[in-house]
Amino acid sequence: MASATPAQLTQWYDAHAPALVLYARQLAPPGEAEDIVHDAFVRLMAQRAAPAGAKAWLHRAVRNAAISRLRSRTRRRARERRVAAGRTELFERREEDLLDARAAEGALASLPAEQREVIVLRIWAGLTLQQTADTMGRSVPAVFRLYRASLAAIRKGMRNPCETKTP
Amino acid sequence: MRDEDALTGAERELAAALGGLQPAAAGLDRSRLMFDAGRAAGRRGRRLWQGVSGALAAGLLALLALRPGAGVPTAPEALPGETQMALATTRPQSPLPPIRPEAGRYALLRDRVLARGLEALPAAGERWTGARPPTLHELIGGGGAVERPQRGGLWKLLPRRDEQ
Repeated sequence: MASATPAQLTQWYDAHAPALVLYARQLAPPGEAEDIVHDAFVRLMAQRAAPAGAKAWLHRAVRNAAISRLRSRTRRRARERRVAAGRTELFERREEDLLDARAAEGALASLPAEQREVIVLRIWAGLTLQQTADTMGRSVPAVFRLYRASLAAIRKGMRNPCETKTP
Repeated sequence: MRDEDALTGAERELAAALGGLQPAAAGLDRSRLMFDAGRAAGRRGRRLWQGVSGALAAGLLALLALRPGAGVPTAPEALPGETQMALATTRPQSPLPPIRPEAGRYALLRDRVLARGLEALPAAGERWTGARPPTLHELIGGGGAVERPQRGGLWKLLPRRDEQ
C-alpha cells in the first residue's frame, strides 16, 4: 500500500480534525488536546503505508497519545477534574442547532470519562460500534451498553431548563 | 445489525441532535500541521536511505573483518610428510657462519634470510672485508662486471673472464 499523499492529508484533516480535537479534549487537558491531534496527523504522514481506515487509526493514535501523557493515577484524576471543569468551548455556536451547545457541553462534561469517550467516538467521530470497541479495547456489547447509558445520562443532564436552549 | 437499530426512537433522536453540533477545532494550526506532516513524510524517505546506507556499511565492515587472511598471519598447518618451515622469531641458538665476502652469492644470502629471518643479515656495522665491494653480477652469482648503458639503454652483465 502506498504512503499517504498531501491530498489525502487535507481530506482527512478537513473531515476528522474537529472530532479528533473534541475526542482529545475528553482524555487530556484542553491545552494538550491540540498538540496530541497535531502529532497524530504527523505520525500518520510518517507511516510507510497509509492505514486502511485512517479515521479509526487517527482516533486510536489520539487515544494512545493521551493515555501516555496520563502517567500517574493521581495526575489522571486531576486532569479529568480539570477537563470536567474546563471552560473550553467544545462546539460551534450556531442558530440552526437543535440543542444548545453550551448545555450539551455541560452534559458531556458531567459524564464519566468512559461515557464521554464512547459518545464522542460514536456521535462526532462517526465510528461504528466495532471501531469504537476496537479503539477503546472493549467488547461490542459492552460498548453498546455504555453508549446507551451515556445517552440516558445526557438526556437527564439536559432536562435542566436553565441549560437547554430556548427558541 | 446496524449500530443505531437497537436504540429506541428517543435515543436515536437525541443522538441525531447531538450529532448536529459542530465540534470546534480552534487551537489547531492548519498550516503548521501541514508543514510538519510534509516534513515527516520527507523524513520517512530519508530514513529509508539512511537505513540502507547503514546496512551496507555494516555489511562492508563485517566482510572486511571476516575476510580470509584478515588479522595476524599464522603459519599454515603442515601436511603429513611435509617439512614445516619455522619462522625465525628469535636469534638462532647456533651462530650462523659468516658470509664469506669472496663467495658473494646472492642466492646463498637469500636462502639464509628465508631460513633464519632478518637475523641472518650481516650486522649494520659489519664492514665488507674484501678488497672491493662485490658487484651486482658477483652478488647474483656471476663474476664479471656491469657495463654502463649507452643512452637510455639497459645495464648489461659482462660474462666472467673464465667464461669468455
